[in-house]
Amino acid sequence: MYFDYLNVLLFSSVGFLFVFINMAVGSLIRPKRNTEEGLETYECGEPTTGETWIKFDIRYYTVALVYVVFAVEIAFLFPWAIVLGDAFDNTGAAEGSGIGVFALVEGVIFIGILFLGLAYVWAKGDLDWVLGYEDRAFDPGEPGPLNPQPRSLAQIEAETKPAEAAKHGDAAQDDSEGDAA
Amino acid sequence: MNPYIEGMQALAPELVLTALALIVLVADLLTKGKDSRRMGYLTLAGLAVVGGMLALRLGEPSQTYFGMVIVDSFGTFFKLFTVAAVAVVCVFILSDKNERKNGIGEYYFLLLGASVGIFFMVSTNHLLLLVLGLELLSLASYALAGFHKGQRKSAEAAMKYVVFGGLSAGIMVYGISLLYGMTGTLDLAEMATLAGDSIPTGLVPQLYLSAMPVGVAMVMILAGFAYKMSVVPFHFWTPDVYEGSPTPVTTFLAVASKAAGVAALLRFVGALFPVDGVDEIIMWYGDRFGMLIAVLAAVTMTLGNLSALRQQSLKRMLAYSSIAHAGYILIGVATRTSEGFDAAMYYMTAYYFMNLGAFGVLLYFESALGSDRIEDMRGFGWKSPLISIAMVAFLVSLTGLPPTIGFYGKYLLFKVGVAEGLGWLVIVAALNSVVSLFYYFSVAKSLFLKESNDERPALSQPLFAGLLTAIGVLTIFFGLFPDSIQELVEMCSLLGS
Amino acid sequence: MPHSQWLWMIPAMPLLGSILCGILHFMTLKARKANADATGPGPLASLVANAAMAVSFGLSCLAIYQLTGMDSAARLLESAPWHWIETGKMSVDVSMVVDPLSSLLLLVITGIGLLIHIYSAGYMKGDPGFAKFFSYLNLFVAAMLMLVMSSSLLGLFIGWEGVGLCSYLLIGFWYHKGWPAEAGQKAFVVNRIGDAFFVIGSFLLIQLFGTLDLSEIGAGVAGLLESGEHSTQLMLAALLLFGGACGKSAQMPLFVWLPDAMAGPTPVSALIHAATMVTSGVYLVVRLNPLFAASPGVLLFIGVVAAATAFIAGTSAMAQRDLKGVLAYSTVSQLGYMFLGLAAGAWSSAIFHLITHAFFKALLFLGAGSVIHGMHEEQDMHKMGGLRRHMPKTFITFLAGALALSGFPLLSGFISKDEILAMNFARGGLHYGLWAVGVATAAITAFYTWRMVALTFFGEERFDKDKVHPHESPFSMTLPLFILAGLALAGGVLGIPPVFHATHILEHWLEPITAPGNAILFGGHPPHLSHAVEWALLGLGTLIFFAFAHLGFRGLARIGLAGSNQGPQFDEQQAAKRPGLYGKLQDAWSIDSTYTSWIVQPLKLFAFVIAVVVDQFAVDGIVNGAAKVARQSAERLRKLSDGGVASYGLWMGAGAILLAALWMAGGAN
Repeated sequence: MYFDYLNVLLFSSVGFLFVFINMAVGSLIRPKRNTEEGLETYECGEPTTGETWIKFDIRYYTVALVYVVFAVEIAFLFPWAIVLGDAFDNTGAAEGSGIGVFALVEGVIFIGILFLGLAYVWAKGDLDWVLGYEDRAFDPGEPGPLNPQPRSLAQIEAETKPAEAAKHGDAAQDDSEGDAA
Repeated sequence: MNPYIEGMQALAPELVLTALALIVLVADLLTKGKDSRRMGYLTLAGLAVVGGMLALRLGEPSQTYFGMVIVDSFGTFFKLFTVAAVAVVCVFILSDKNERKNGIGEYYFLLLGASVGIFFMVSTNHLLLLVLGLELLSLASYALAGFHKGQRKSAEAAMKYVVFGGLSAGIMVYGISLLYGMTGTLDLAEMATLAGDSIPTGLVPQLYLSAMPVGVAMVMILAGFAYKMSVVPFHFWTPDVYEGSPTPVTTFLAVASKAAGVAALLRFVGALFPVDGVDEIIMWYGDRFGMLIAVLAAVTMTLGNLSALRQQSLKRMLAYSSIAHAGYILIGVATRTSEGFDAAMYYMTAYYFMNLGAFGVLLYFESALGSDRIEDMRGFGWKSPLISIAMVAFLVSLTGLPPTIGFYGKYLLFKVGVAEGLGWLVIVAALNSVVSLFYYFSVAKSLFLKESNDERPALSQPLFAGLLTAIGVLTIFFGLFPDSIQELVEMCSLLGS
Repeated sequence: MPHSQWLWMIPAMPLLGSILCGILHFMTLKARKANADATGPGPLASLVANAAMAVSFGLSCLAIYQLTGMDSAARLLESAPWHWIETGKMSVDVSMVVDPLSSLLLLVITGIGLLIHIYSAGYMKGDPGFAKFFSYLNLFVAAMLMLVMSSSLLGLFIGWEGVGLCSYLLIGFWYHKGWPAEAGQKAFVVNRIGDAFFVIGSFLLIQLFGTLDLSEIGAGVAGLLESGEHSTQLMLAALLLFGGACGKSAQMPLFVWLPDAMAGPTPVSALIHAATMVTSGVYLVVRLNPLFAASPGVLLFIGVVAAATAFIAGTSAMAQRDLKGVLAYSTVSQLGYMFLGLAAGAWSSAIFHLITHAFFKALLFLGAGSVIHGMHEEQDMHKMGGLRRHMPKTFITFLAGALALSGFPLLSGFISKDEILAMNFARGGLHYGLWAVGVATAAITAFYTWRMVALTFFGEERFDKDKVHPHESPFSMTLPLFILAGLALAGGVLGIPPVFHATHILEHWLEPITAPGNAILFGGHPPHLSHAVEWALLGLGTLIFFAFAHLGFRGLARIGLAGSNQGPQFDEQQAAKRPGLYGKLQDAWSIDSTYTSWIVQPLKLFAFVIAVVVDQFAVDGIVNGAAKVARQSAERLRKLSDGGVASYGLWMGAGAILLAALWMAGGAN
């Protein structure tokens, strides 16, 4: 009985080995030139500036999420649309089920709820690329610990700069501690 | 009648709940988020309707719709439980002095969405729908945990919750796919009875073939339940998330979300490994599965109680205490008998009262003191005696001392544990109760036996105080007259008696 | 039979009164906080408490009246049961029951309770804790009523613990003086020892009978005896319950708390430590008389314990200088008498003595309270004397109580004591020994009673006349004294000895209760004495009274009655002549100090060792050490994993693997 799983084991071990053998072969036969240019990150010929770890704007994710939702919707609606005719005619896969109108209404409700979501995101202003607080459809309400108020760029810079300087100092200390440990 | 229409009628509470969620969302949008309290009242009204519809269904025979959704008293019990819990959570939000008044309509929307998830989670034997319900609940919960975006702790809670939720759900779905691959079905009832002829399908033939892959799949699926119930070792998120989330959300997670996990686990164990299984091998491996759960129970309650011992924050202490209580509930699950399941359901009910109460009092102190440290509550018992006395009732109940509902719940669990040969587990649980006495009573001690050096006056929130007092009275009332709830539980029993 | 739901009202009224008085107390405190001289609504408490008692007393009378209207075999009133837990073999239903036995105790508790409440209104006047006192007192009555009315051993136990709590609160009522608080604590702790026996005994009964219902247990004993099984467990259960009774009713070796309990206000001593609470052990034995009757060995053991208690406490009373001390030891001694009656199977005689004792001992305590009140809180009899001229009403009533206690012929105490002694005499065998001790104790009783009367009311006035001006107590205090005096003198009519050819009212009344026990113990025919022997015993009792009362009174008064100041000198002479014996008696045979040096001190040492060595060094060390290790490893883990998430994930994975391993650990079948 364990034999049934042998093909799984074989498959996974071949896959595992394939990656490592190729990487090993590559590292053995490629030329190694430890010059400054050779060690640089490849950026299509442009000189690199700053680190490769950077923050992406959160708005990318919002748009991507909305996009995914509708992509999935389409994936659902295709098969639904294809069998809808059968459902109305009581033929094919839907024979004798009498699902016709029910299926249509269901589908429309599904689309309706998704559109409601789109409308919601839109109305709340989450699709606007450049968003100021004054543009928001909602009253931001009383300022408080749960509801930080928007600040000007100058304010933010003034607040973060000394903090950053201090943080760098701390980080250096932390590192030295970590090394000692 | 058209079976689809009939199915829709059977799902009326779920539909109403979904419609309610959408209405709240749209209404909040149309009013531009001004005075979200109105959304709270709307939600409460809708929940009352759903609760009424559910209550009328109690005691009706079990029926399956669309091959997936089971409408039975067991599910209705947990749905009612959820509705009642969410309603109280809504009142908590409305009474939270630290909460904004405007633009929080999504709060209610998310709670209602999570409830829809719970509704499906507790009323299915189909693993696909189970996962869907679980994910709907989880997604809403992640957003709820991070509802106070501006607060670091809240954001951290949401982040941690997402990571662990994703990890556990992933493990669970992987386990389910393994099980599906082996047994050829996702329906638990079918899985338990199916016996393939040429190709071995169903659980029984698979177990005869080899128990190992089944075991791996079981443990992986268990991870998903354990995560929802915060059972060791899938509990790590609990203290951080409970502490970081807004207190009403913590209440929801501790009561409604945990109950959903319990209900789903009961259905899972009840379908696959009942004590009087269809086949010898089911009973053999059922014992082992029960032992697994018993070990988890022992470890969970011990770890939860020991960790709670030295907590300074009432919120964090209650988080660890909720882990410990998950361990107690598992005693009933580990027996795999109808009595054990009933005891677990009874304990869940007890847990409902005492934890809603305790978190409510916590919210009250946060509003009054701006702190959840036990030390800061010194001498407050004399300032707001009604709430503090209610708190003592909750603490006594949490410890499991008479004359409270928690005592009777624990008594039932211990009784069934001893009867089913889990005496060692009951001893561990009893020792744990003694340990828990220390930290629960440190709160009472702080409230009543220490001098206050805080000049801040008590808050005047008559409605909120009234609600907490009512819960406190019920905690004691059902401890003195446990029959009514016991009858309800027996009526809604999963395995029948 | 229809349920008599109103029976719940009997204990509920004092409970309600207690709550109201408690509220009054808090209102008083508040008023006093605002204005230190304000009296507040506290004085209202006596009205509330007395009203509650009066209603309760009225309802008790109604209950008795209804009982008398019934057929003698079926005298029973019962409320609907309060259904608490029913599970498996055990059911717990608690209902309120009034049958012939509990009806008698109801009258004693509410009747004497009412009188003592009236008395307290005068005695406690002006005390800052006036309302609190009545709150406690009413609570005590509620608990005591629960104790005697409950149909179930569990309800009885709730009352049992309730009266213990109230006793503790009331003994330590003047806690700011220091020693009352300690005395309260001692009473509580010693009672707890007895309670442990009681609880274990109850568990045994559950195991034997599957119920805690008192009547079912009583009915089950006969069946169990017939089957011949479990006789050892039966005996053990009876022994353990008697252990509980020992604690509450102050028998050897647990009697040491009662003399100390006199630290409480005197009405408390009268109500709790003479008339009601301390007799609950007697009630328990009579209530479960079939159980005790089934184990004659236990009964004999009870007899030995009771005789020892009666004798030791009686002799100790002879050498006390404290007025209340004499009464306290006398109470212990008289309780021994009651158990002596139980040992002989004289259930109704024990209850008879319980009732008469409640009359005259409550009277004596209240009289003593009146004296102490009039003497400005002086309790030492050597500093009294000649008080009959200053407080004539107290004197006359005290005299009545003393006559009854010491067994003046045909007064209540004489008749009930005679009944117990006669029963022991009739049993013969080893009971002759118990009888002899009983007679000796009767003699001792007469002696110390009259010594007390002589020292207090006769002889020269030995107090400082410039500072102390003895005065008669107010009407609210003397009224209860007169009523109780009447009862003490005439109480004997309840049980006129058979030689006078009258019906023994009490024995007849208790017939349905005692019949099962008598059937088991004597086969339905209790032994009885011929008239000649009875006359002889009555004569002996009379003789002893006159001889020893004379000795007690004249022994002092030979020198003291005429007005000389030699009463105390008699004591001193005795102390000088036999220093060892006298000291020993004054110290109650040094039992208490033996406990202190052999049990209490070693325990304290042990506790100290545990607290300091084991807890502070070992346990705290381990806990702190573990915490330190945990903190350090957590610190390391934190640095390793940079924030919890990754390490948490690691633990989760490890846990899952461990679970999978557990699944496989059992091996294939």
